[in-house]
Amino acid sequence: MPRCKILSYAFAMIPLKKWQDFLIRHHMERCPECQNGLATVEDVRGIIIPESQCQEIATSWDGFQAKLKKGEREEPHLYSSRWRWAYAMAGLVVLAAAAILVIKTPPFHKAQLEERLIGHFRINYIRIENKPAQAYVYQPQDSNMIIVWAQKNIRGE
Amino acid sequence: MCKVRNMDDNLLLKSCLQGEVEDFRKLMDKYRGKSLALAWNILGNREDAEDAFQEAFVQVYLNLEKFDFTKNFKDWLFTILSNKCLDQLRKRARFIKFFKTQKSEFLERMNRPQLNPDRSPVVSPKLLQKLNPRERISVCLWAGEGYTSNEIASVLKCSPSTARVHLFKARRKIKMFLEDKNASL
Repeated sequence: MPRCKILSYAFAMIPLKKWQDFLIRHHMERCPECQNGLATVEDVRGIIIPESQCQEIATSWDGFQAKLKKGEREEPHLYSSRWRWAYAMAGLVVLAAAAILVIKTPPFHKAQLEERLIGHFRINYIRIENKPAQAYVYQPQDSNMIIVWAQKNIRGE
Repeated sequence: MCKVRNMDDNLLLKSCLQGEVEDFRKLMDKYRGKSLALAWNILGNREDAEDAFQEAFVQVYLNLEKFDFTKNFKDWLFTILSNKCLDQLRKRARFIKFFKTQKSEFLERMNRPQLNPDRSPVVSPKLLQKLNPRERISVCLWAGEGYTSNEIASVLKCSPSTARVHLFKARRKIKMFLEDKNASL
């Protein structure tokens, strides 16, 4: 018997329920001591409510009908488990769509920003020594640097 | 009553499907004793048992079209009833948990002896509460209805092996309790 107790403690520590059940069943079906430690049908019948005691209980037919009407009328509640699942799934779909949108959208590169700024770089008017001058804007290839060259107007040009 | 008992369940069910409500009442009467006894043993009090019984029959009525006529009606009914009882136990556990944390005063009031104890007799509370609900269902079906572990498994929607383990555990706990009780006498 102490061996059986140790085994039952050991079985209780097994985390996988199926394995636990298998080992308990395997042991109980083969161990004569454990078989003797089981209540008989008569033992159990002595402690449960018998059918005969309930046979004469008059359950209300009106109560059943009221519940039936309620059951037929009842629309799925907004917070019932079915709806909760629907909300959760809708939330997941929205999240997934947002994630896809973020991943698919090309990142706003720094280079693109600079390109835009460069696109907007403009010299309207240059004067040197109070006289209109000529301006040259130059950007070397693969460089962010912009060189602005201004020179006096050469007579005749 | 005997005549009704001998009537074929399938005939009654088919008649119910054609809209004969009175035949459904006969079906309820036929299984009233067995169903109430099972629910009472699982839930421990009569009012909850009657509630579960009515709710189970409402579900049966609303799902009559889904019933597989090749299967046993009693097993189907007991499956629905057991699930209703397990639902009630879960609700009760949530209710008690809530009030334990919120209002100890309310619990004290709940634990006071009732004014009319005959109305709500609690069945073998110490003993049956030592079993978990599935063990309770297994042992009641086994001793009360003569179900085998395969039949218990079909009601509990588990494997026969698991049903056998529920039964072993329940019977072991009952035996231990009875031995302790005899020793203390």
